[in-house]
Order: sequence, then structure tokens, then C-alpha cells
Amino acid sequence: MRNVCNGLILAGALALVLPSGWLRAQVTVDVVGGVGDRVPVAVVQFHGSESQPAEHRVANVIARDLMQSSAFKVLQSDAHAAHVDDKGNADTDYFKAQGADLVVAGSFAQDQAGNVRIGFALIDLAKGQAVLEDTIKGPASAVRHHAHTISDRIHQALTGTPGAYSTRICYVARSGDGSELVVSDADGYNLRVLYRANAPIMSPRWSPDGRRIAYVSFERQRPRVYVHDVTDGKRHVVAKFRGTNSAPAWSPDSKTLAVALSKDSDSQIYVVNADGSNLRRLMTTRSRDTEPSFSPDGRHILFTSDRSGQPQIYRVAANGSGSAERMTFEGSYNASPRYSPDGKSFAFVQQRGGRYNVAIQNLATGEIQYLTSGHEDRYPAFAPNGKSILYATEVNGRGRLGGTATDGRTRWDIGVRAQDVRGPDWGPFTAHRWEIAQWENTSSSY
Amino acid sequence: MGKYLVIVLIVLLSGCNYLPWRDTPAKRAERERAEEMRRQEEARRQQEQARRQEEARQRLQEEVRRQEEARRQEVMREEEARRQEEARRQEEIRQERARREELVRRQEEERRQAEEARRLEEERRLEEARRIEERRRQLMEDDEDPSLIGMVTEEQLRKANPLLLERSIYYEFDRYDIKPNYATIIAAHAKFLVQHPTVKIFLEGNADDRGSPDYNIALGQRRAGGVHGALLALGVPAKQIESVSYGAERPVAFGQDEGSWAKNRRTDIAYPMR
Repeated sequence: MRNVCNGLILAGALALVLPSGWLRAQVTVDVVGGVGDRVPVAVVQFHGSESQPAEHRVANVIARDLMQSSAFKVLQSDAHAAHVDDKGNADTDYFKAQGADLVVAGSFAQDQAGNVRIGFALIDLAKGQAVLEDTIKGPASAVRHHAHTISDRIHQALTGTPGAYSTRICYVARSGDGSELVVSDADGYNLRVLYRANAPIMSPRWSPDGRRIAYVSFERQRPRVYVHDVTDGKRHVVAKFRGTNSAPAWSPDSKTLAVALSKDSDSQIYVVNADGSNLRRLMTTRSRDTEPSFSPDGRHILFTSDRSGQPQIYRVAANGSGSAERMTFEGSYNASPRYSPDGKSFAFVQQRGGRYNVAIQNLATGEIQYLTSGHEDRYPAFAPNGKSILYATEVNGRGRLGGTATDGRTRWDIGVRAQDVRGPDWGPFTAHRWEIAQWENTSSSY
Repeated sequence: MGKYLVIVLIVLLSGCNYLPWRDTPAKRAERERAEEMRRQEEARRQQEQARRQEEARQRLQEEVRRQEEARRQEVMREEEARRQEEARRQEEIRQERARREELVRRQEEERRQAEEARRLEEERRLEEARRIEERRRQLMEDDEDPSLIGMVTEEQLRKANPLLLERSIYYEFDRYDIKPNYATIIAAHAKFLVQHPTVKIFLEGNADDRGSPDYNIALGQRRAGGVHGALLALGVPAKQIESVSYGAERPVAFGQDEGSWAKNRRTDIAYPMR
């Protein structure tokens, strides 16, 4: 069953004239699975005068965030506002009649200096009291970030897992031979172009400490691996050997990178310090090995190899000792492994019936869950809380970004300004901290 | 007696009016009618004369007006002629000026074109010098043999061997083995490279865009590597070949169909072009 939650299409339809940094395509969230066990949460427009366009209003941002989680069923209506008084007391009977178990409400105020004060409460109707209540103060330019932070807190309060709504993502926007390395909020808003090149850029990977992004750029004719500091914009080459320099993957301590190089033969996996020093070869095989992914504990590396004749996923000790263990056996094409943040499963791309789709395999049981259904879905990347996966997909031959809950029950588009988008990665929880200063310097008013 | 005669005469003369055959009332009335008709005739005549005079006056006035009008027309015609003459003169001046301007413009254009041609030629020379310099810089930067400075033209390749214009090798999906029909092409390139030891080529491996972009990079590298190995086996010195992979990042065909994919699964043999 596929339902489209109208509230979010509404948000897209209300897209007004925005600073270009906010610009995005329509926003849709598809509920793929049943809605029975989702916690019904009513999200009420906040009291106070929010001058920003509707899609940037705190309640709308929160509603859109929570809709992406398979844990919630979001109830949104303009009528709700009349049933919460200005002290934040909700009309329990009304909201129960609406089918809600919980109510999110709050207040919004902005002062002359451009700071906002957002009070919010998560009211449990069964208990008749707020289970979460707080106030956020900060620059008006970061109002979406504040709203995402509230979503994170609500997610934490209701599921026990922190939300990842306030995190950042990165991706490559392509036009012709030109590329832009873009960072944005997880929902595609608030974007910033980190780097432009007149050549393909691919495989950006955000460091676990949030400060750097490694990527491959072809700007000097040959593919080279660069590390780009998000905070000061400085960058340096990590690998510029003969042939292929590709597929950078950060170790959990952000100190080293696994990369795929062809300097000595076909593509093989090496480990190198983030400054480019101390290169060592992980394994010596006669196959093409690439796409390393460190386990969160740093002890293992998953990678893609065609040693069986077709691309399959293998696991090896992070120091390269012992033999690699084959992980995938279903299908003739399994690639792009990414460890989940808890290290218990990995996301990957499998070819099935001519389509390439994102799936998750449980490391202990080998059980596979298929998550997407596009023609060309690739580059899966976990949200730092492990609850969502960001991936590249294609719509009408153009690269777009998609999101899916890791239980496969909710999928959504991430609206982007660019015509053609590739290889996303999801930044860690800390990523935004390094960027807030940048937002405050932007001219946009929210 | 004379005296009587005079008296008789006087009587005769003075009484003749009273004679019945001389003056009767009928005669008088007749006479008065005649007199009246005469007067009326006289009045008609005078009226007629006045009318004629009036007509003559009007004709005269009309004639004067016509002449006046004719004169005015004549003046206008003259004025118009003068205007036309003036316009013609102006037009001539304008045309003359335009002719002169056109001439100047054409000369300017010719000068500009010559200048442009010179500039282009200069640019071309600079570009060529830049490319050679770039090539030299690249060689230095890449820590390569500076003797590999050789560059070629399409014409040069065509003259050496038309097979050298064939510079792409195509593959099946997820495969990198070279099909036998490419043997003569690869041999032609090997021969040319052996004969031109300063020319260094790039072998650029590519893949169609299905599946993993990074795996496609590895696949493209393997494809280039296959051609690389074949050229080495044919005696081309290793320093004259470098393999690189663009994976699926530089497609030449953009459709989502086998025809497009097949065009993108290729290794390009890239010469340094002058």
C-alpha cells in the first residue's frame, strides 16, 4: 500500500519565493508499509508570529521530519491551533477525537536583533501532561535547524533513539562536465557549495568527526582523492597515484582513510593517513577490489570484489590479516557496502531483474531486506542514528536523492536545486556544529 | 390780307390739337399703352443689361479667382518640386554618406577580420605553445620522462595509418576482455607508438552507468589495463602508456538503453593532440 501524506505535498506546494539557498523541489513522503503501529502525533502550528514562508515554519518543519520516521503517524491540520491555548494547554478531548496520542505544540518569538525564542512541548494525552518541554534560543537564520533539533528531541523522547533530523548531508551536483560538492541539511534545505570543479567529482564521504569530507575529483585529468576541510575550506590531496585513486572511506577515528588504488595492478584496497602519509596495501589479490567501508568499531572492512567473476561483498580484518569472507550470495551483482552505525548490518546495492536497488543485510543472520524500488538506486548512506538511509536514485534519467527508513516502511524525496545529483553521504551528528558559523554569515533571513 | 393769313395760320396751327383726327381719348390711351410698353421694354432692357453686367462681373471675379488658384497651385507645385529636389539632394547626400560609411565599415571589417585572423593565429600559436608548455609542466609534475613531449594531429595519424583513427575499444556488460576484431587496431597503435617514442598516450577506461559508480571505476581501470597489457606485449615501452579510469563519469551516449550503454563501455586511446 502506498499513501502519500498530503501534509508534505502541501509544504511543497506552499514553496514561495525563497533565497536560492533554500530552493528545493517538491517534497513527498511515501508511506510504504502499514500505519497501524505508528504513534499518532498531532503537530500544531506554534503560537506567535512566524514571518517566514509556511514551509519554514517550525511546526511544518517538525511535521515533515517526523513523517520520515516509521515510528510516527503525523496528524497535521490548521484546525489544531485553535485547540491549544497560548499557555500551551491542549484540548485533550479534541486531540483524542482526532486520533492523536501525543501533541507537539509551542510558541515562537523573534526579537529585533534577529534572535528567536522557540518554546516547545510534547504532550502525552494519556498522561495529560508534557513529557518533554523546553526552550531553544538562537539566530533566526538557523530557524530550520532549531526546528530539526526539536524533532530530534521528540524522536529521542518517543523512541529512545536520537533523531538525525538536524544533521547534514553532502552530495555532488553535476551539470555537463562540471561538478559541485554541496552540503545541506538532511532534508535538502540550507545548502552550501563547498567546492566546484570543471570535472567529475564523486564519492564524497563525511569524516566521523564531522570536520572533513573526502572525495574523488577528476580535475587534474586523473582521479585523485582529496580531503576538504568543511570549517575552513582548505583541502589537500591524499592519493594521486598512477591510475585509479578512488572510493575513500574514513576510519571511525577520522585519522585514516581506506582507498582503492590501481597503482600496483588493478584496483586494490590501501589504507592511508588522512594527510596522505603512511600508505599501506591492505591485501594483495588478483581481483578488482574497491568500495571499502570501516566497521564502526574499526575492526573490519567491507568491500566489493569481483574475485568470483562478478561484484560481490566481502569482509576482511581492518589490518588485512586473514582471508576475506564473502558476505553476499544472492544475485550476480552486489556492491557499495556501508556498515550501519551499530555495526550489526550493512546497506548495499543489489541488481535484481535489471534494477539496482538498496538493501540491508543483517551480518549475524544474513537476512536481506530490500528497501528501494527504483531503476538505478545507489550510494546508500546511513543516517548517524541508523534509522534512515540516504541514496542516489534516478528519475527521468536525472540523478535525484532519496531517503528511506531502514525498516523500508517510509520513503521520501530530498528536494535539490540541481538538475543531476550523485553520490550522497550522510554526515555524522556533529557535522552541523562546524557549519553553524557559516549559516549565520549567509544573507538568507531564516 | 397778310395779316389774316397769319392769323389763319396761327389759328390753324394752334387748333390742330383739337381736331378730331388728331387727338381722341382712344388715341391717347393707345399712346399711353405704347408709352408704358416702351417704358417696360426700357426697364427690361436695363435689367437685362444690369444682369449681363453682373454676370460679366462674376465671370471676371471667377476668372480672377481661377487665376489666383492657378497661381497658388503653381506656387505649391514649385514648392513641392523644391521640396522633392531638396529631398533628392538629401537622399543623395545620405546615400553618399552611407556609401562612404559602408566603405569605411568594410575596410574596418576587413581590418578587423585580418586582426581577428592574426589574433586567432596568435592564439593558436600561444595555445599550441601553452599545450606544449602544459605538457612539459605535466610531465614534470607527474615526475615523468621529459622526452615524452611528442604531440600529434589527426592528419598525422591518418597519414601514418587510417586505423589510427579508430581509438575506441568496446566491451560487453561487466566484461573487460578485448574482442578479437580489435587486434589490428591495437597493433596499429603499437606500431605508431614504437615509431614515435616521444608520444605518450592515455588509455581511458569507461563503463556504462548502471550499478556502483566506484565499481565502475575499477571496471574501467581493468578495461584500460587490458589494452595497456596488449600494447606492452606488442613492444611499446611502458613509459609511453598511462591507464586511467573515468568509470561511468564521462559517458558519450546518454540514453538509458543498450545502444547507449554499449557506446559507454569502452577504452579510449587518447593521444596528446597538438
